[in-house]
Amino acid sequence: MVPVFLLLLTLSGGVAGSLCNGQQCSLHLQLKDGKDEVITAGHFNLEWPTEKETHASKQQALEGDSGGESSAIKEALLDNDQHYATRLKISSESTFSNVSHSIKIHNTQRAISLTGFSDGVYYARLFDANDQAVSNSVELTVNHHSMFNVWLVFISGATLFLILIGYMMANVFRHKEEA
Amino acid sequence: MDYNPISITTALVILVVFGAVWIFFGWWLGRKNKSLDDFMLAGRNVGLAFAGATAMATWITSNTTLVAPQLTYELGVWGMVGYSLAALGLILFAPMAKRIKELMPEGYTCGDFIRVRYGKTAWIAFLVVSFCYAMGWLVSLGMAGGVLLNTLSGLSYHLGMTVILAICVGYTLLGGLRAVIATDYVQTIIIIVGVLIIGFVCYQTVGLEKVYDYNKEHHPELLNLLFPAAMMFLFNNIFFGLGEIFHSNVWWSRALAFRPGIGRKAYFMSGFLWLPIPIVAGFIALSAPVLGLYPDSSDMVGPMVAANLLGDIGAIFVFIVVFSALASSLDSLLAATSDLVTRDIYNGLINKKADKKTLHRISKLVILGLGFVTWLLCLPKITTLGALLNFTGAFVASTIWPIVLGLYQRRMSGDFVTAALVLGTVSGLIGYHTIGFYVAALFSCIVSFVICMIGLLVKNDNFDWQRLKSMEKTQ
Repeated sequence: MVPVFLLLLTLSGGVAGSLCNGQQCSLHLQLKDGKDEVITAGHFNLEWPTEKETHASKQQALEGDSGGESSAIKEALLDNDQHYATRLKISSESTFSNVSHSIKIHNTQRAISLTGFSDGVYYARLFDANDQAVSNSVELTVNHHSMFNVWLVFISGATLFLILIGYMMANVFRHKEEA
Repeated sequence: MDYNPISITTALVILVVFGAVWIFFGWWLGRKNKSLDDFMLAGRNVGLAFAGATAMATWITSNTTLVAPQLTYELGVWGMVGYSLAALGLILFAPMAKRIKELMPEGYTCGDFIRVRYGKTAWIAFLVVSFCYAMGWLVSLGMAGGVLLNTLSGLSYHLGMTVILAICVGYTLLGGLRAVIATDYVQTIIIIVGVLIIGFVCYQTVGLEKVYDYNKEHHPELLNLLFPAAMMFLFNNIFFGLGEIFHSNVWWSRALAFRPGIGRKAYFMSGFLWLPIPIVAGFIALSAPVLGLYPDSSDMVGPMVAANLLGDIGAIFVFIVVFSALASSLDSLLAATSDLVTRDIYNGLINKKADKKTLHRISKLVILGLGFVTWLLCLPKITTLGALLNFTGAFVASTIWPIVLGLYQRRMSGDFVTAALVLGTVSGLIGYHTIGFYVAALFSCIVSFVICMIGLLVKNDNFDWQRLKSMEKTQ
C-alpha cells in the first residue's frame, strides 16, 4: 500500500513536463540564475529543488532511519533529502552523444556550481546509476563579454590605479619632508 | 569521503567548546576595561606584535578562506592573483595610519575625520556608505558560518549561522576591542598554520601538472589570461580592497588604538604576510575539478576540497581554521561598527551631550542590536558570499579618493566629496546590475575620481589641519 500511496503522492505533486524514457522525469533541473540567462562569465549554477522529492526520500522519511534521532529533529537540523541521480552530464549536443563532462553527484546534493566554460551552447542532464535520464535537459548559452569592452575596462582600471599609486607615493615622500 | 565529512554531533561539540573558550577569553580580558577608551580603543596602547596580528587576522576573513577560493573557482588564475592584490589595501594604508594618528590623536572613528574635514552633508553620505558596507560584510560573515557548517556537517544553515553569530556577539560584548585584538592574535596563528598545511597537502596530493592538464581540457577559461570577466575583475578587486580598508572604521579604530609609530609598521607587515594566503587558498580551488569535486555553491569550494584531501580529522581541522577566520573578522567588524554607530550616530546626531559612561553602555547595546539585525538579514540566503561582498564594492570604492585627498590636500571641498560618494556609489550599482559584480568597485572609483578632480580644480577649501586635533563637535 505504501508504494502505491507514494506513487500517487509523487504524481499529484506536479512533476516536470519533460520525459525521461517515456515517463515524467522525477527531477527538475534548472539554471539557478534564470531560465533564459546568457552566461557571460563562463560560470553557472544548476539546481534540482527539494520539492520534487523522490520515492526514495519519502520512503526513508516514513520508515524512519537507524540513527536513533527522531525524524522531526533530524529534519530541522539536516538537509538530507535523497534522490536517484548519480551523474550530471554536459554535452554540446542535445542528444548527449558526445559528453564533455560527466560529474558524480551525491544522493543528497541539490545544486552544483560549474565553471570555466568557453563560448558555446551546452546541454546538461541528470542520470541515474543505470545511465537512465532522471531529469529534463537544460540548454545553457555561454557568451563571454566582448574583448573591446573588456580592454576598455581593463585599461581604465590600470590608468586609475597608476594615478593613485603615483599620488600616494608623491604625498608620502612630501609628508616625510615636512616631518 | 561522505558528502558531509563531520558528524552533526562533532560539529556541535566544536562549536560549544570554541564558543565557550572565546567567550571566557572575552570576559577575562574585558575585566581590565575601565573606560570608553579601553573598551573602544584598547587603551590606545597596542604594541607591534598584537597590532600586526590583528590587522592580518581581520583581513583574513571568510573573504580569504571562502571567497578567495570561490573567485579562483569562478574566474581562474586572474581571480586568484586579483584577490591577493587586495593586500595593497593594507600596504597603502600603512603610511595613512601614521598620518591619521598624527592628525587626530584624540579621534575615535573615521566618521570623526569626515565630519570635521568635510562637514555634515558629506559626513551623512559617508555614514550611509560605511554602514551599508559594514552590514554587507557582517551579513556575508554570518552567511559564511551557516554555509560552512552546512557543507561540512549537514547542520542546517539557519542553526549554524545563529550559533556562530551568538558566539561572536558574546565575546565582543564582554571584552570590547581588547578581546577582539587578543583573540585575533590566537586566531592568526591557527589560520596561517592551517592554510599552509592544507595548501601543502593539496600540492603534494594533486600537483601543479595535473591541475593544469585537467583544467586546460575541461575548464579552459580558468587558465586563460584573456578570460574576459576575470580581466575586468582584476583592477575592480584592487579598488574594492583599497576602498574597504581606506574608509572602514575597522582599520581606522586600529590605527588610533596602536601605540604611536606602530601603525605604519603593523600594516606593512600584515599586508606582505597576507599577500600569499589567497594564492594558496586559490590553488586549492583550482584543484577541485581534478578531484571530481563540484560544490553546491562556489563559495564552499575551499572547505570542500580541504576536507576531501585531509579526511574526516582534516575536516575538523578545516572547520576550526575557517571558524577562526570568521570569528576574527566578525568580532572586529561588530566592535568597529558599534563604535561608528555610537560615536557618529548616537553621540553625533541623537544625544550630543552624552557622557563617556553613557556611550560605553550604548556601544554594548549597539553590538547586541547589530548582531540581531545581522541575524535577520542572514535568514534568507539571497546570494553567494562573493557576489554579496562585491555588491558592497560599489559603496566603498567611492570613498578612496575622498579619504586620500582629505588626508593630504587642504583644497578638497566637502560639497564635491558628497557628490563623489553619492554618484560614485550609484555608478557602481548600475555596473553591478548591468554588467556584473566584477565591475562595481571600478565604476564607482572612476566616477568618484572624476568628481574629486573637478572639485580640486574649481574650489579651494584651504582646510586647517589643527581643526582635526581638537575634534570639533557638529553643529
